[in-house]
Amino acid sequence: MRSRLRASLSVALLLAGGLALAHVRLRHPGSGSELRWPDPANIAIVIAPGGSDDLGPRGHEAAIRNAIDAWNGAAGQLARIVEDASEASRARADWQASDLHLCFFDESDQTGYFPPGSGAVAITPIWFFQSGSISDADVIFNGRDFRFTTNGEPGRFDLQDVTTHELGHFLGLDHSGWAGSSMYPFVDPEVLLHRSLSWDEVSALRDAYPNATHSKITGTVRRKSDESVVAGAHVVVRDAAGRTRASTLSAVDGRFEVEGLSAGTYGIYATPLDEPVSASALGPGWTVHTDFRSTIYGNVALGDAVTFDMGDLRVDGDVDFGLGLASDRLPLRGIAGTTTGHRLGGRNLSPGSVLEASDPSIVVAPTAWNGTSVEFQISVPPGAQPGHVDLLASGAAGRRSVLVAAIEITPPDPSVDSVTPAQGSPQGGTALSIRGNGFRPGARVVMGGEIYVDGAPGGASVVDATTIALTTRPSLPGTTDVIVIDPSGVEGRRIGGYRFVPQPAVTSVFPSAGSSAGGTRVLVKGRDFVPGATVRIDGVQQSLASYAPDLLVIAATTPGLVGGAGVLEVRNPDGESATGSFRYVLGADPSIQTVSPDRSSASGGEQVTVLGGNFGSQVQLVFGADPTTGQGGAPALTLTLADASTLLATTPPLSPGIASVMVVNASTGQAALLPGAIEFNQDKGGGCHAVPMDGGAGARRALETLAGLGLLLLALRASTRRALAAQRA
Amino acid sequence: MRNSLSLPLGALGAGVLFLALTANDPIDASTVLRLDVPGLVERADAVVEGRVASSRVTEAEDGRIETEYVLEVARTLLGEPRSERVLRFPGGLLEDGRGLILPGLPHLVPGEEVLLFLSAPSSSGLSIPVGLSQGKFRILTGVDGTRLLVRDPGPLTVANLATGELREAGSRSSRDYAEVMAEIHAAIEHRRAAGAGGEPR
Repeated sequence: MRSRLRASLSVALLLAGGLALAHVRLRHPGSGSELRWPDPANIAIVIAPGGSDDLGPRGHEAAIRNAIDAWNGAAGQLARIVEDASEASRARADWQASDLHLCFFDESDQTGYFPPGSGAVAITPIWFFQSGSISDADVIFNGRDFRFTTNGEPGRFDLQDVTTHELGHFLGLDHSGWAGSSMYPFVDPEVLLHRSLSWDEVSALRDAYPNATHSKITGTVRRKSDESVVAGAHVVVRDAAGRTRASTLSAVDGRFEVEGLSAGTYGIYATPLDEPVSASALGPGWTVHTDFRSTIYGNVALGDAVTFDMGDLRVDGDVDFGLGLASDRLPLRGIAGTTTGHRLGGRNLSPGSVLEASDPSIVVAPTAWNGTSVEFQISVPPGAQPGHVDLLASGAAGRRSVLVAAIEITPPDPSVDSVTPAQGSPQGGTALSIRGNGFRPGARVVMGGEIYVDGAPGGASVVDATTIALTTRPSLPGTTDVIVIDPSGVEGRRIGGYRFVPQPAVTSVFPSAGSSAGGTRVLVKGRDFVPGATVRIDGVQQSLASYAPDLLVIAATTPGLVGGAGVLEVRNPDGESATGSFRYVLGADPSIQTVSPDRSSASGGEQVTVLGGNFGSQVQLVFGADPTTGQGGAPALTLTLADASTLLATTPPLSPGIASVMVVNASTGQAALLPGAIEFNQDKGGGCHAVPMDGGAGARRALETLAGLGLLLLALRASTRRALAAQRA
Repeated sequence: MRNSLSLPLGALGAGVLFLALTANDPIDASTVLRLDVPGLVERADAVVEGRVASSRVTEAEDGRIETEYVLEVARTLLGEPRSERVLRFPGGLLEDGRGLILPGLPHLVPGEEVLLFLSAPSSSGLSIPVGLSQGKFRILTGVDGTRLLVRDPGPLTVANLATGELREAGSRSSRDYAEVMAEIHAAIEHRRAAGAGGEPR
């Protein structure tokens, strides 16, 4: 009588909720429409660069990106979370704006969503329209009250684990009744197992954003006692191996559809959504009855893209018997090749009861039944595939309780034993070999804030179970952990396993020789020069005129000894150093004052006069050499040394544009270079306009000023053109 | 069936009493600490019991949607005693069908009796139950005054007057009111002894 009345009034009084589909989706509180993104193939999200106070610069980004990848990797569905990494978007903080979906840390309750004592670790507000279309969503971490970690620090929440859960809400999913799913409503510090999606989440995405027709199982849940329908029954499907594969909640009329299934053989059962996940964990719009016991049905063989209607599934009456409480730390981890001890709470867990896993290869051995709890061991055979397994308790008089997806099977944690080499340039390009154990296909390496995915372009390569190879990408200098994350979410790391250390290199020294009297301006070209770097020539520190990561300029060399070692050393503040060659020689350095005329045909053949000083008997003249290295360019077609300060030359063919002129005393290596000294034109050049002395000097002064700013060539071009334009006017 | 009470039928006479409750209340966390009653008390700024008198949904210029509830306070267990509290929760459903959900945040329904563990107001003045849905219990009262506290959104409460049995359909997580009250008082005493003095954290 009671049940019949309840059933009829359920229909009459409750929200007219539609048929429940796979998993649990967030619903419009008024219409009951399931919430979804209207353009699921391109759901933009911005990772706020500010990050967390608990993590280093950019320390949050890799964990969040890994979580995004977890959802994007779900097969058989269209949803893609696409990171908008544009500087313009990353600079925004107006998270309420509907065109910005921001993932950020609230370190001071600026959102107003984290009052003192709220206990909320993270939250995902979701805006929606009447139609059920999601118009905006943001992921907000409570950085003021909680601490986050990406390296398993005790007492902190694993950022990737929390983000994976929040992104499920972001996509329109509600909490799940699976103890081992990412959308399980409870999380503890240090838990990692929600990083990887369960099949429940995959089927949820297939339901919300399908890209193909999947198979499904339908039916109606009724009470065996009076045929009344059961609302909110948790209907769960296992595959032939006993692994948990999909689930749904029945609608108010008892009907259910388990969607997103592939071809195969499945077992099906209905169980009350009570503990550890109850209806209080769900969003608005659900009606959940729990007055029945877990009831198991036979197997169903499905083909591709078919619907199998099971008709009425009749559930047995309720019993006061249950396995699992919200206070339990779930899921239980079963490690392949290992036996582990566990404890779960419950009701009437009396001696004589039976505990078993839905996958018969997993051995569950109770060691103590305590009434309100049971202690047991889980033994997983070596090589067992990752996934979720139900835990079933049976007692006297047909008592039965199923803890859905309670056990998550994982491989052992991978281990990282060595990284070779152990350091490399922050500019990347270093080939690494990571040695360890337990590396599996699909693993990803995180180091220096970068993610290297197995098989992805520019990613990592899992060579075998003991070796991963990768080539580093540009990363911030410093020491980093080397983390190998298995597709199941478990990880191994080598703390401080790699150091991105600027390793300076000298690629050229120009000029390569200078007067022993000193005063030579020397440009040292290379890479990974760090602010504070020093330059020594034969052990004597030189004064720098400018600094750039790839160019050091010695304003004027100190006097030196002819016949010395000729070693120029660049040393970074951390002691890393590189060397080049610079020799002191007898005699003054050459110099260039003017080049006249200042224009030539690009085909060359023009006569020019170069005035300067200290031109040697073996002087060479080069047009268009690189102003910072003296390399490249073309030698004069003809060259006459009129005297030590005058050269008569014929221009070589050269590409149109402004070019330098360089004088080299070949016998010593001393050189002088006048940047922007001459312009090569397509049309015939010539003319009679010399580069004015002050214009050329101005160009050099501008060059010296701007060289350290990396504006060298631009400055040359601009200043020379100004000079030429002034002369023409 | 664990959640049953034997009730005197009294003035209700024969038949069946249905206490219909809308199904749009509680949820659980987005990501939230798992809290027991002492944990809720420890974090609460106020613990109050009362009836939800009204609700009103508003939209701010910046797009924030909030629901303002007026709570007629019957009993203040912790915090400043007031006869009425105005609570602003983030989220809600506007008349045009647009809305905002924060998964995990409970809703209050006008007419329902509730026990709330309330946090101090946020920087924007919003109130959030401690532990989100964990900080709200619905109070169900039988004809003899016996009470249950439930968290589930069970839509119906069925009192079968033929048997005198009250059941909250679909609830596995209901608690005995008196038992929870004892836990709350003990936790408040513990908090005061620890120096918190019952004042907001």
